[in-house]
Amino acid sequence: MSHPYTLQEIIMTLHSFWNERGCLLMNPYDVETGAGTMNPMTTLRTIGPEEWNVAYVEPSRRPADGRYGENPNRLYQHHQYQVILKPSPDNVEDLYLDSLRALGIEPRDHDIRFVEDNWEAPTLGAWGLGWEIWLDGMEVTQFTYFQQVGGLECHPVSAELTYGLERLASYLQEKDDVFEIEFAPGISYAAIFRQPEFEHSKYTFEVADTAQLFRWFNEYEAEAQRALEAELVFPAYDYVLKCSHTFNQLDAASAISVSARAATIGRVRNLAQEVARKFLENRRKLGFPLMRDREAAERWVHELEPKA
Amino acid sequence: MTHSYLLEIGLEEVPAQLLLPACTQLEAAVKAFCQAHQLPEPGLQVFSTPRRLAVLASGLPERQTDRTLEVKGPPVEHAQDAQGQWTKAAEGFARKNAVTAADLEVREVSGKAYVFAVRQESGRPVPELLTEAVPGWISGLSFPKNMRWGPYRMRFIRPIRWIVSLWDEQVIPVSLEMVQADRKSRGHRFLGDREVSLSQATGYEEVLKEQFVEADAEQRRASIVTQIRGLEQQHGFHVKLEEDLLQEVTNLVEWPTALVGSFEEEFLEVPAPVLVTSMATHQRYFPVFDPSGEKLQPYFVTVRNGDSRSLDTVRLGNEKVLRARLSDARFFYQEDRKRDFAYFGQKAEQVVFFQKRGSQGQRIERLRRLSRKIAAEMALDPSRQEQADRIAELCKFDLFTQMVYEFPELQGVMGEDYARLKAEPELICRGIREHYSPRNAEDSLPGDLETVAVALADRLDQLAVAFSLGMIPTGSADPYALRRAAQGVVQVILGWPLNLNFSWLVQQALQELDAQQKLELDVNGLQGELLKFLDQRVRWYFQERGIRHDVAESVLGGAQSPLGQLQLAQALEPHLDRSSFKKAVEAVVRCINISAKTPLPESASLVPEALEHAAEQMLWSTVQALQEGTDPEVFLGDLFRMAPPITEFFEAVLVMDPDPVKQQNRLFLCSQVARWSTAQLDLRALVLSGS
Repeated sequence: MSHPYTLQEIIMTLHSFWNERGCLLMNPYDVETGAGTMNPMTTLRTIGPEEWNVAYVEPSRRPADGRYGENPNRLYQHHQYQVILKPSPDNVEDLYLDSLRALGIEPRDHDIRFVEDNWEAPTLGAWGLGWEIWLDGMEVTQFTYFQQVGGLECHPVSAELTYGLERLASYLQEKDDVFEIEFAPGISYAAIFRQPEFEHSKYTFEVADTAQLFRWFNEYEAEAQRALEAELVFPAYDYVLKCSHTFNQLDAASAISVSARAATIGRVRNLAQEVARKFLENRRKLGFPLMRDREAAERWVHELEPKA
Repeated sequence: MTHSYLLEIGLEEVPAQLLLPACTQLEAAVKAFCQAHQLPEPGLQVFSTPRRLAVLASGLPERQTDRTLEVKGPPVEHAQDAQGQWTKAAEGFARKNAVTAADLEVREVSGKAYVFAVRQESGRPVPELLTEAVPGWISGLSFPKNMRWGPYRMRFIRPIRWIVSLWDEQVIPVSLEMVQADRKSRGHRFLGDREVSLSQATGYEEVLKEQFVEADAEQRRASIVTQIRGLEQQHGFHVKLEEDLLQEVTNLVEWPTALVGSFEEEFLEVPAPVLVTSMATHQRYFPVFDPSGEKLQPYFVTVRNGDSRSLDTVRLGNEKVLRARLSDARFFYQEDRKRDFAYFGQKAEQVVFFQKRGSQGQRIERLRRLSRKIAAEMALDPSRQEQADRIAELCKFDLFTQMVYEFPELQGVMGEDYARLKAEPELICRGIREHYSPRNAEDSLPGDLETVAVALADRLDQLAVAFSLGMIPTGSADPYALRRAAQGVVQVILGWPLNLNFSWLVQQALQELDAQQKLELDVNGLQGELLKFLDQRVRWYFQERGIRHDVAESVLGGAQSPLGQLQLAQALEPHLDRSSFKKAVEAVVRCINISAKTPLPESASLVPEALEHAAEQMLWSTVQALQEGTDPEVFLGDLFRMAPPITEFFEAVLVMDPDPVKQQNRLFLCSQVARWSTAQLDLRALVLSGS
């Protein structure tokens, strides 16, 4: 079997690898996210007792990392390949290493290390423990066991594998500059992304109306609360994502002071925690339909009943 | 015949710095187990790699030795009733000790009869004890941050994937929620076998070695050092082996192979601290120097977790990563150097320091004014005050450089480098870096007084801003590192040492902030809170210097400056165990207690004509000769001189004399002694054992 080379072949290889291992193949979310973790396919589905195995690509916006398309390693928007395995299987590390083999990375011929890296997403009230995975010194994947999401203890625990697609491609294609990566045969990364990188960077650092962004932040927050009052967690979560992205834009524009930063993160976190609680309760009311063990599902429905 | 027991806990990669503490705990658990079960102390070998913790105990007996247990119970009169029948109490005691009432014996202890439960206890087989105890050894290992995984409830540092538990050749059952013990270990993840069946407990290390796992951390470390020394020989360069990095790298690999990589020589134009941070901190590479150990070379040494297969692939990969990092760094360096101080000054104006407390630019203005004031208070001449001002003006500009944005740990270091390139005087360049010192309890202090003024201003302003916003640390939460800031103030003042008044310093910082931001702060109230906060740090500092707790309490209770308190505490030290000192202290404390109980009005005075006793007159003249001031030796001299007249005074007269004039005179004498001593320290806080 020939190994993948272009970025889209890498995506296809991972898709087929995780498809064969029972994952749902999902799509990027249609609201701006900073990482694959923010997609509700991860954030919400890692909460509660239901099994959930999913894989998808997530274009991830990091306004502060925008470099006008001039830096060979930094991007306003990069692409993550996100896998969630819930509960984390006992052989999860081996599964991951097999996925590298599928990409043509034979561990015997490289130096692969699991270097401690504890992950925390303060805006989501989420944290986990795990590693950065180094391939010959380059971090190519984040491997995290979720401990809390939305302030709720995760049980069972999900394993999250987040592959940096540009990193992997630049390694496999031996390119020093991300813009030289071949996305598809004959089409470079630059051909697709140089212009949006430039424009998003210029917008973020020079053009964005920060007063307007502050207003939007407040409005998104209010709308999230309104949706929550109606017990509608998915719409509420969309506005939490809007808040989060707006906050990232403001932060990148250095428009948020040190003290205001912590307070603003706290506002987003409060919303995320409320969404998490309500999501769990709504799933409970539905009887945790994704659990195969129906008896266990009933026990959970009972156990997680809100105390009066 | 004795036995060996092997326990191996198979794990997913444990954070490198936690392996050694875990080994220590595991060793202690085995020792405690042997002690608790009256087993002879075993021979212990502890092993650790990122994927396993193991202990091999040897010299264990087959079973515990049999023993006779004799437990003393209640006195006979409680154990037997008038008819000589066992009482409920006796029966209960028997039950508790697993004997029948008929087996109770009566024995005499120091002339009194007691009931005894006597029982032969046969020793239990050690394997049985192990089955019960080992899960507790494992769950008892404590780590700073534990996790759960999969569907399980147990918390541990990283997932447990297998357990080997062997008593010589035999598996001892050990059961955890997610795994049962067996004899199956695992080899190196990529070089060894997926499953390695161990035939016996001994020889563990050798079997793993065949599986490309060096289980002994010391051996792994030695192997890395030997390999690196070999590379030095071969390439004629020098590798600095920083202990922390060496430890970390040792605990990141199971089978170390060191290799040399290189980078383009042109990157050497980037300052050495940037290169070293990129290599050592971010990539865990060892930086390479010329044989003299001074000049960085365009090489690095990294340690691979594996053998020498495809070493060139590994080298090229690592070189690519480092090249990306260094070209970033060089780009930042070139960009930053194009800018002048005015450019960074403008940036500072745009960045908010704290909401409602102005921009970074305004903060720098405050630091300049405050530094000048402090320099003047330190009696530095005007030209040196100018220098302090210049250091303050430039001490934060590097925060707005791209390099420090990317490498926050290099704040100050980059400022010094860039300032030197702009031909600032050496004192100023050094000051930009050193004003951050001390960064922790062990760090050195700024070397120039001009920098000291800025170091104090920086921390005091930070404290003033935080306190003015009500951000006062409580418990362990201290997100803005205010304790460290306060500690820095104390370390600089007491360490240099400087005779600066905390109260004045805090007031200046608060007033500068208040005036600039037009806040109308409650300066007095905030000053009080800040001084209390600094006091705690002074206490900490005294403790660090080995000053006794009661002595610290005592001097902190006086009205001296912190430096005076420190000097006084040190001067007291040699006297603390002397009986003459204790007597003197007791005499003075007597005066303090009496005048506290019967306070005199402020306006009270002495009527010399009414001093009838020689002892009174003697004490009065001694009191008049008391010297004010801060010299602790003078104070100690006075203290010793005070003791005899006070003692005689109390022997000769009754303070609470019915005659109001005499009484007031005597109380007045006591109050004078009290006032003199409490200005220096609180003698009542001293705990003296001298006879």
